[in-house]
Amino acid sequence: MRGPLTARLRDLATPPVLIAFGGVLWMIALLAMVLVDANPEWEAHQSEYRKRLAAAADDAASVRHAGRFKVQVKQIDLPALERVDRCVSCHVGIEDPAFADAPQPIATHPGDLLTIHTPERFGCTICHGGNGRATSREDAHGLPEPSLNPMLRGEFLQGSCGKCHGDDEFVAGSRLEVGRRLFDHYGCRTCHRLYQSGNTAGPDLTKVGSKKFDAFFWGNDYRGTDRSVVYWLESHFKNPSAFYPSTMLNFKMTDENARALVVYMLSLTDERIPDRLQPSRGPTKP
Amino acid sequence: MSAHSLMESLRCSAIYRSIVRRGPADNDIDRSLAITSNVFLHLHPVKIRRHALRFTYTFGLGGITTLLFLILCVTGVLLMFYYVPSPERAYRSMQDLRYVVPYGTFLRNLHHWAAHAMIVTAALHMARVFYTGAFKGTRQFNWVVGVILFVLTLGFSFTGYLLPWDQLAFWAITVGTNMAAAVPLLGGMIRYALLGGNIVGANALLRFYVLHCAVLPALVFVFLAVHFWRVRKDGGISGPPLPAEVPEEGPPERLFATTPGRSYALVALPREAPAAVEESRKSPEDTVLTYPHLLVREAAAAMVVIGGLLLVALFLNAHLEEAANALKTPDPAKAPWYFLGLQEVVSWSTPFIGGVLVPGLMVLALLAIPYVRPNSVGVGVWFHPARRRAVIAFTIGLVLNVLLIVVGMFFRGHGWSLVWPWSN
Amino acid sequence: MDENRETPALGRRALIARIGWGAFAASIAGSLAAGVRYMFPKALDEPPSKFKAPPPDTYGVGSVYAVEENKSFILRDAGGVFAMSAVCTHLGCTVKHMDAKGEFHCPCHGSVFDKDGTNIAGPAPRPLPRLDANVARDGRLEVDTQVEAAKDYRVPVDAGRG
Repeated sequence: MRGPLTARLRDLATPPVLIAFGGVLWMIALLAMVLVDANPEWEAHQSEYRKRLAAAADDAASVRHAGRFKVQVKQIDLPALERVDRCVSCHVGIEDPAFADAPQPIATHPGDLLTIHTPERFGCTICHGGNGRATSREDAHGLPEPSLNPMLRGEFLQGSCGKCHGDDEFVAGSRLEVGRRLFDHYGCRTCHRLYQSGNTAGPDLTKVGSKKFDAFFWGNDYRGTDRSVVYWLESHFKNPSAFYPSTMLNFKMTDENARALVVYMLSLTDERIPDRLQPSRGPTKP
Repeated sequence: MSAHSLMESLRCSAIYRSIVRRGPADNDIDRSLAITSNVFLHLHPVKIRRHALRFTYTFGLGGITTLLFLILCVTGVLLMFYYVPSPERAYRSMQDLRYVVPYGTFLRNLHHWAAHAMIVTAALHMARVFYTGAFKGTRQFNWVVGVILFVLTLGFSFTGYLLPWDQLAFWAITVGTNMAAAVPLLGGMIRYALLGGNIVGANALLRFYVLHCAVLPALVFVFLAVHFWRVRKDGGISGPPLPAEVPEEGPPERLFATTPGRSYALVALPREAPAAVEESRKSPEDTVLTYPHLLVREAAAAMVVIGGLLLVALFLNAHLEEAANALKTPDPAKAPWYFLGLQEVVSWSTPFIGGVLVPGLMVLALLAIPYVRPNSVGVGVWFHPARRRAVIAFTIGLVLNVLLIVVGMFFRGHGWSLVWPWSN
Repeated sequence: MDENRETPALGRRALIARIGWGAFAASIAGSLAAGVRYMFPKALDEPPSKFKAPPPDTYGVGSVYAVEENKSFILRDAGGVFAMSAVCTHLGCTVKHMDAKGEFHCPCHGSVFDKDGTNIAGPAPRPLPRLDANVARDGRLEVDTQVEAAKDYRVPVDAGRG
């Protein structure tokens, strides 16, 4: 019945051997746990940042500044926005102009947006999206997509401006502003409701920017890998029946216009922005 | 001074002797005292039947279930240091455990997988007891206690997976309390009492938290105490009737070196059997001393389970869905695997039939098992031929349950429609 | 260890026993240590130790400005502006500013500090510490409650505007 190997295993599996076996597994697991915890992703980036700080320090003040830098989880506590953004644990250099040429993730934040939107008031995720509490790149950036909290990328980032800024504040010619105008141009309210106006033939768009990818109907035949909200909206605008037979009119939008409209859709969220963080409000905000 | 003689002098010190009021366990009297004079070990009898030691009789399932419960207590208490039972902060606690609490992910994984494992081992323990007829005779009532413990375990699981306040939690609490509302006459009241109101919100979370961390543990400790007590009082671990003749078996295997003076080590004890052990083996009960024979096996099972569980916790992260969103029901909204059979039944029937009648009858049927045929036929033997019909009936029930769970796990897709597992 | 007492045939078993016990002891010790480490999270949802107060030239000479949520006072005297902790150096209660006398009284055990924060009565062992304060880029006063400043530290106030 029993082969020699199983018989030998059986002889080997005496209680003391099993105790030793379990104990060794326990130790291995503990060791692995400690090693994983001791080597977080952000540590390497902060070490690099500190190294560069020290190398560039040329006077007493900057030497002291570099010496005081501590490698630790860094975060922006934003009780008003009900969030904690730990993005700065890796993106340590965003406010330091000396890191303009440094590689990501420690580079300076491009442009001058941070001088008006100071990180200590607004944090990161209110504009960029993603998961602010996460301390690993994959989780923070919402990778792999599709994910519940993906970051907004490239031109689509403009959608976040509309979370606080009213229509009258949109920069003329920006994607957001073009999208806003296209919304009127195509007469979207003929079928869709937005805030208090419009009709109910199509879905209400008041909170469309807060919807996750799984809230959209992808049809039964779509086999593609891109299941992001942005992709759904853009495909749908270019061809309303891209995923399933839709009753929406086909406006034969150009890529450019479809994307501008996506940007505008992304600005329509239900995120609660406290009044004191709001600029003056535009006419269409309730 | 060598480590060995250091230990020796420690063992001779007055303080050590005041703690352990017995000699080195190199004779049967001290080995008996090791069990009876220790508050934890005295759950065990001093001697047990050799039959009870056989791994293929019990598979150590009851003990492993107990061990998992203790692991859950320890990890659960540690998790409580960070968990805040409020809708605003519960989900954040989960994220903080994952991202900024040292070993937080690991600990949560450990709690999660130990809970899943406990359901499996408790169910298997129940199956083992059924198939070996161990619920018969004096042990009728202890089966009832066991069924109660199993229901409490499921209660632990249900209240536990609500606490992260993710989508699974929110919709499980919604469905679960609506099932409770299907109880005739009292349903509405039960739902109101469970939720602490009419909607799934802060009160409901707090109530389930208190149930999970205070009420259920207290109940389980009480019923566990009764369960263990009754194992002893009902005649120890079940086994086949004693043979008329004393079996001729060799001495218990030697586990460790017979080095003099090393007997302090628990696992070093089963040295060459001294005369007293030989004598006890020749008694009609065919017993061996619990210390060390049973204890060393328990220690082995415990260490293997702990080691395995830690490895699982290292590689498999506990599920955490999107934060609770009252406006959006996930699609498909699936319960954890152990409730999928029930979910399957509910999807075919009214909330009363699927949510109250079927589970109620299942528990009643389990409770009734020892009283259906109160005889002692086939005790202590796996699948005793005299109990063929009972074995077949129980197996059908078990297989049906597993089948429903498999259907729920792999054959249900969007909108709870039937799909092939490979079409997703 | 006197290995010679072991019979060669049983050497392997003894070794396994030793590995078993060693691994068990190390695992328990390691798990306990991990449990202690677990109690010290790498980040907290606590307010940051730095806070911003109105610019230095907004305080009148001799005034005491209480920043209750940060348990600090901002004071101005002839030499300039400085921030002072409102946490009693005895056992951590928040001291109260007694306007009439200009003193700070602790309600818990009766410590008294004068207008510079020096302990003049009661059980407090040390003066109220001055806190590190600087003028931030936006002109406001930035105070760090975690960093103690020298006893006579002051932020000078621009004479033209003060």
